[in-house]
Amino acid sequence: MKSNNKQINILVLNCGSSSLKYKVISMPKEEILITGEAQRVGIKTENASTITHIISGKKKVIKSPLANHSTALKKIFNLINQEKNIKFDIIAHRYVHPGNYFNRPVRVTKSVLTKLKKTLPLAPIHNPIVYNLIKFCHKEFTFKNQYAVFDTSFHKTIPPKYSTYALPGELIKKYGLRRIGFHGLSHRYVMEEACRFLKRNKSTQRIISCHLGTGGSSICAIREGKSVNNSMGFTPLEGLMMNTRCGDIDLGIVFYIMFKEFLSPDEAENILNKKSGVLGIFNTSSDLRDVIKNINNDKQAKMVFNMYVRRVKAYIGFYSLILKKADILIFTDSLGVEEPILRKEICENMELLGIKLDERKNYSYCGKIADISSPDSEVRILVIPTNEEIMIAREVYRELKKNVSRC
Amino acid sequence: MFLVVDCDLKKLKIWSFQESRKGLSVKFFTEDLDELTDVANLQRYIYKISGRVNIKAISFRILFGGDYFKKAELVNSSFLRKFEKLTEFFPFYIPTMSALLKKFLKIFKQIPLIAFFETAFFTKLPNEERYYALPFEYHKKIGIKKWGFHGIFHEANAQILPHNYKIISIVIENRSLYAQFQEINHFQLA
Repeated sequence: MKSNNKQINILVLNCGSSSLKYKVISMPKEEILITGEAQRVGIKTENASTITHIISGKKKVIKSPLANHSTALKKIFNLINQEKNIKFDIIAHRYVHPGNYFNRPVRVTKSVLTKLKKTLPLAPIHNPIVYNLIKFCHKEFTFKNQYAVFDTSFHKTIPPKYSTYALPGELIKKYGLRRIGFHGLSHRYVMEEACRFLKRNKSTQRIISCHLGTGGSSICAIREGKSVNNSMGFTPLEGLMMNTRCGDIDLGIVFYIMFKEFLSPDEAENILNKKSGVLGIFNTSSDLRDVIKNINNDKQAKMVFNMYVRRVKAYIGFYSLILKKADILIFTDSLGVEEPILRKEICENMELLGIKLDERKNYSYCGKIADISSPDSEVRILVIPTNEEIMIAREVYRELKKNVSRC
Repeated sequence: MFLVVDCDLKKLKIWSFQESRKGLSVKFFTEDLDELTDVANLQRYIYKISGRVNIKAISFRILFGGDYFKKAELVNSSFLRKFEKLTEFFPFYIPTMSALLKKFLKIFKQIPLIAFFETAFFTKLPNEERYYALPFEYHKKIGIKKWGFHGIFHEANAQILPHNYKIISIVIENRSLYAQFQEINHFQLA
């Protein structure tokens, strides 16, 4: 870039554990040229895998088996390449867990890849997928302009009293063990959108952000625009119950299962990350949306749903105490946005914490940012579709501008 | 006199409760289990504690009752058969406790022996609280669920207050744990 304001098209790849969102964003205008999402990638669900591809308001839905993320990306590239007038200059990847190596966006080089390789075990569901996608892009397109943007940077501000684990000090020091927190891009985005929507200054607000996805989910306590706690920990395994991740459990169980089932550490990790959560209990699907479809006629579905809701409520209660009551409660990501019954059940009997939902507004919500709280609710309850891709593009563009300034 | 017996893998701990004109006197005794390997040794030890006073009942604090024991129960042979089925959960503790209970049964045939379980108070936790988000087969096959502990403490705390009270009960020993109760039906346990 020769000029600080040169237009640049960034292909943002936002890889979830079972999805791959993509956007071609023209910066600095933040104009979305192409957007789409591959859903139900590499998982067992009741519905077929799809790619939804949108350009100039025209939507195409392609049903196709998507055995893994590389297959999905190949198909996405084919779709993008069909658009002759749209080219992208840079690929930016959301990278979940950079360990203690990076706390700001980084251009991918050979030495960066070497460091990223060391982080693969830290987020075994996400990091290997993105790492392979970066390598895939490099191999297929000899594409050198790739950036990695990290989901952990927003949580740098979590104070030691919430980030420190009750483990031996020497281990903490040696391995950098602490609550790192995840979904930072999403939590930051919805926090900024909420303050903009309510015309409030973020430096005065106490916010609880619920990022409830079909893959991973986390809750974040935000004070004065800064993350003060996040339900995920050193890895994205801690916290809420997720599609295939167990979330918070008694650690004694891990040793007990290993002993009883003769499991190696790798096998135990695989069970906790990939065979637990919604899938573990519901068995036929890992998608809470499938569970919700069955809650009226399937006892097990009802129990899974109740388990999920209870855990979200517990974190909202805890974070309300940390924040000394919240000003804003946000629901985001696919489950947070698409499932009114989930929001209803989570907000039920939460008047003590100042949370009171307006049922009519909740059920009539459709698509954009909206306030679904009752007029007498002390806490404003907002539904905000997340846009991690815009945050990723912003961060990469800021990084590029810094590099230009340095030149 | 009433005795309350607690034991771990190494020590036997006994509290004696004796009412007199002066009020209730409580005494604590402890002995290595190795010193009480046979019935005669145990009998001598208990009689040393009770002196010539009649023992009216002996209760036992038992750490784990699984799904079999939802309330305090009289110790007898059918109790022991059920109790020993829990061995797979605590392969050292359950046999040790079972052996001790058998010795007490031999010595005190006419005195009620009552077992109180630390887990009994939590057997009515709602399923969504009891089950972990793990493969469901583990719950069925190897009994992975939230059993809860310190139930005797928490139940005692809950009974101090009227039933319509909502209570948060905190036990702080070396480990800490809290439980919330709603009309004595507890709904969440740390």
